[in-house]
Amino acid sequence: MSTSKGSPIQFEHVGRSYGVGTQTVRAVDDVSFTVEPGETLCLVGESGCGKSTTGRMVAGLLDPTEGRVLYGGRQVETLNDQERKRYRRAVQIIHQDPYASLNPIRSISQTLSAPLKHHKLVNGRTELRNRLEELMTLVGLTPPGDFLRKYPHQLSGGQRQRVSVARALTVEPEFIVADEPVSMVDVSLRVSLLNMMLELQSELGVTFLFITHDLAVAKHFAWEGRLGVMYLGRMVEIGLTPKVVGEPIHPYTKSLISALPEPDPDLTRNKERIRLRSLDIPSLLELPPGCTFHPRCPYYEEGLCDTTRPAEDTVSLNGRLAACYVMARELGQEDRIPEESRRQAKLHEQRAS
Amino acid sequence: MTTATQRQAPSSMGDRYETLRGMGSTLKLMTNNKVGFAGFLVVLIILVVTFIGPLIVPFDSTADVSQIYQPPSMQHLLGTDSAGRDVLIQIVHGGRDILIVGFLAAFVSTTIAVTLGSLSAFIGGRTDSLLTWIADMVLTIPQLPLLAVLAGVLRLNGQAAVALVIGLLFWPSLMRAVRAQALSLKERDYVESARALDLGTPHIVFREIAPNMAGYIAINFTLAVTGAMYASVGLILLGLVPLSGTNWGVMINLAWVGGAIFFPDSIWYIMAPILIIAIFQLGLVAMNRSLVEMFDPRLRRG
Amino acid sequence: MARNERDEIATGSAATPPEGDLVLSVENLVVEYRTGRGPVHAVRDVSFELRQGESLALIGESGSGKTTLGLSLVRLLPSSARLHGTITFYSKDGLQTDAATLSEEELRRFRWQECAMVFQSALNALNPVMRIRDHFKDTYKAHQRDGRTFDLDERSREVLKFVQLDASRVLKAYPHELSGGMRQRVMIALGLLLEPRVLILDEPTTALDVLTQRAIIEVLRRLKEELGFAMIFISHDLSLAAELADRVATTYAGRIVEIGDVQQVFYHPRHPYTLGLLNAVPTLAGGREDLTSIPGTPPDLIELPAGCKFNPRCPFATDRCYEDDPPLIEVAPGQLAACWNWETVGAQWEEGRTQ
Repeated sequence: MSTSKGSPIQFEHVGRSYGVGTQTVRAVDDVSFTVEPGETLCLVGESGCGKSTTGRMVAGLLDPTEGRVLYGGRQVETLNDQERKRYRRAVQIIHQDPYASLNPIRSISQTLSAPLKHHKLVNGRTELRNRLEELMTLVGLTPPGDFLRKYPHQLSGGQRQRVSVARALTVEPEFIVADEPVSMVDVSLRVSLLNMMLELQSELGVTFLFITHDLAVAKHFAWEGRLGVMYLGRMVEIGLTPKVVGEPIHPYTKSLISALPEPDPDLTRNKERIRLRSLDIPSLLELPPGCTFHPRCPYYEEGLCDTTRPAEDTVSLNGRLAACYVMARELGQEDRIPEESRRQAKLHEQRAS
Repeated sequence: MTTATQRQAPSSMGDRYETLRGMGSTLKLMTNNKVGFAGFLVVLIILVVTFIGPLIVPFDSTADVSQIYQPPSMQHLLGTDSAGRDVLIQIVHGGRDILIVGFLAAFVSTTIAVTLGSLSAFIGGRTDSLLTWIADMVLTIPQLPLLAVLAGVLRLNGQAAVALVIGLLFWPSLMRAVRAQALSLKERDYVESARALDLGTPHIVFREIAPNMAGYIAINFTLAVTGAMYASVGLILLGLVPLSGTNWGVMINLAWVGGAIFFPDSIWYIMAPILIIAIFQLGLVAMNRSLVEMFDPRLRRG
Repeated sequence: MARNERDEIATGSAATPPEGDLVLSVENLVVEYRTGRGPVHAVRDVSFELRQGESLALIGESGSGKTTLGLSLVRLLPSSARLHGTITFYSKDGLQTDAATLSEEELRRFRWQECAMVFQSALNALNPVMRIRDHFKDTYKAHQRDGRTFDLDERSREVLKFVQLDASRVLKAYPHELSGGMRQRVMIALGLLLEPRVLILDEPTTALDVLTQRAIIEVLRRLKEELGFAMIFISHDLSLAAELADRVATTYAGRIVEIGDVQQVFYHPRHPYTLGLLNAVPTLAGGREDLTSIPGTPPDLIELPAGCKFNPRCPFATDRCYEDDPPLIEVAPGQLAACWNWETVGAQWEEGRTQ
């Protein structure tokens, strides 16, 4: 059974800023994408890139300060109370830290029963018991009785993450936002957690927004889905995972892929490494003009890259998007570069020669 | 599916049974920590003696001049006071007022602190700033001098009044601590999950956040009791509150004024109330160790 | 118009491990903690050797005891720990010191000169109210051997330059003013201050962003290749071992369960745990992989099962595994594995590779 249920979630030029005036930080800046029911979208990036903030906005836990979030084609802000409630429940979140994601003074049974009872999803103790056991089995914690009566500190990190997933499933969500769900779990246990989530996806048709800084994990989980790369609050590349990983377009994506160490000595020691122009990471308070990656970018061209900021869809090839003027030119999409940047580029070119 | 239903306990009985079992196992936790349990016993004994004792042992307040400042003997286990009355019996009778004031004042200050602290953390914004400012104001006022002034001005008679005044002065530091805790707990991942699951603010405040503070609050409550007891005894000692009855504070006052510290025979008149207060405080503080374990499953052994 | 340098190849192919002098030899190390629930057997009978210029990676996950092992080498264990065995450091002038038996005072002079530890770059590894140059001063004052002429300022700048930090900017900064990557490099520089023979690095790249990680790995590579340090990396990250290690040891439940040179361990593992790890770690290169987890949960170091500690999770376990805890057996020249069924393990692995 793999009927995907639910409605698509669309982000249109969504931004989230903090602070005021000169002290404004744009955690998320002009990000657009759509997640269709049943698909997997992975957001990758380093710390501070805005992927977690984006995840929270998808889950409705944070409101955007710019742009629109659409659920089933309707803007989330215009939904009435009941529809808003439905949206809230439709999107659930799984956190990174297994040690902070469960209330330490409540047993597993209490934690899972709360949403079931509150939303009257079960009638009577028998049904409750059955549903609890069903959920435990779904996430691979068997025998259920053993785990239900325990407290979080009596479970391992991996087991706690499974409980988090079970909790998310109590309200039968359409959509799960998983924020670094395996980063704090032992390496040897990550795969079973990931596979469990993939199985849930195929069995229940749940849509996944998977957030991680680990490209290799992203590749494994979202192989049949899409990968979006974020940098300093913007989406710099998005497309089908095999393509983004195998043939990256944006220089930042290329740098990430080249920098990643691989668990294979011959492979990793002979890998071509891209040298960045600078090791400094710009602060969100003082973003460089034009393309925010340009101070570090090995493909930097004066005039072209530091004048205007490339839009997310500067490069647009069969659903693949990349925000880079240099690559646009290389891929024959020069006409998508704004006039001003082209002019500046020419000026600098003339000066140089 | 059928196997699961066969294992069911009858529904409503099961509910009550679980609650009772829960309470029973919680009380049992008191015994886990030896120090805590000892403290608990001390507190329990003193409470029983103080509240039930007077019903069993009558107090004869007539003075017997021939028995002034007698040393401890089989007749008077702790000796006699300046009017020939038995000290031990006075100890038994003298705790009620002090303890009532202590617990009442602690209850008042803790309730104010928890309410204002939680509201401040949750509502935030201007309410938070206002409440914090009020707390700071009350905090900076020197408490004992203020108590003295209030006692004089308001003519406090009766324990309730004293308890109320103490309670109204002692809440700020706990309020700030509760506020800080609530602010921090508000940001926890499991609270965010509760929001995502749409469990509603009442659930979040009372089921997710408050229980995590319960241990902290309980411990602060016991400390508030000790603080309030000191304050009320202090008031009595300084004569700022009418001396009525024979509570421990009055005993200390009279003993001091009556020069009981100068005679080795009469030393128990002043030491006994001081010691009983100290032992009670010690019991409360020791009991905290068990309280901590009771409220936090992580600290329980095994 | 100039196209800036890009796609520069930075190969770090491992030269064959130098057959240098012995710098460290650990024999039958046992470390136990006293706890309320019973003794925690964090390290159970570990032995290995380290030579000049060699880098050894200790790979393990939670419950492996790897951090305790690292801390025990510099005797930074809490007072509830009991240590048995010998930790012998061989200094340049041929002097042998058993770190396990040094007194507090001797330890202080020994640390940082013979052996320095580089901790994870977490903000609380550095004192937040002290400037970086005061950290250097403190370290120097605490550990310098008397009677050595030493220009602290010059040496500080030298080590900072080596890790590619601007000394004039960094020395006067406070820790919170530096990024995670910069702090990690400061920790490395601090380790190099007194020219130790051995560097122990605890999770040097964990919690760092990918691009910053790459910079640190390159610094460590230079340390190894240009300055010839002997290094021990403690990590859960196999990729780090793949990048920098000459020899790799996988640890489980307080023991080394496999040790060999990097090619042997990665391409011809013989212990089921090593196998399990290799099968569980995703690679970025290539297509979709068939990854499998290791079943079960990490070991409880207080209550360990009888026989081989890996048996609850081992797909190769046979009767003997539940009775006798295997010692390290030589499975190839220079490679040891603690498994009774290593031949079966090896056969299955090699078969899987050729498919």
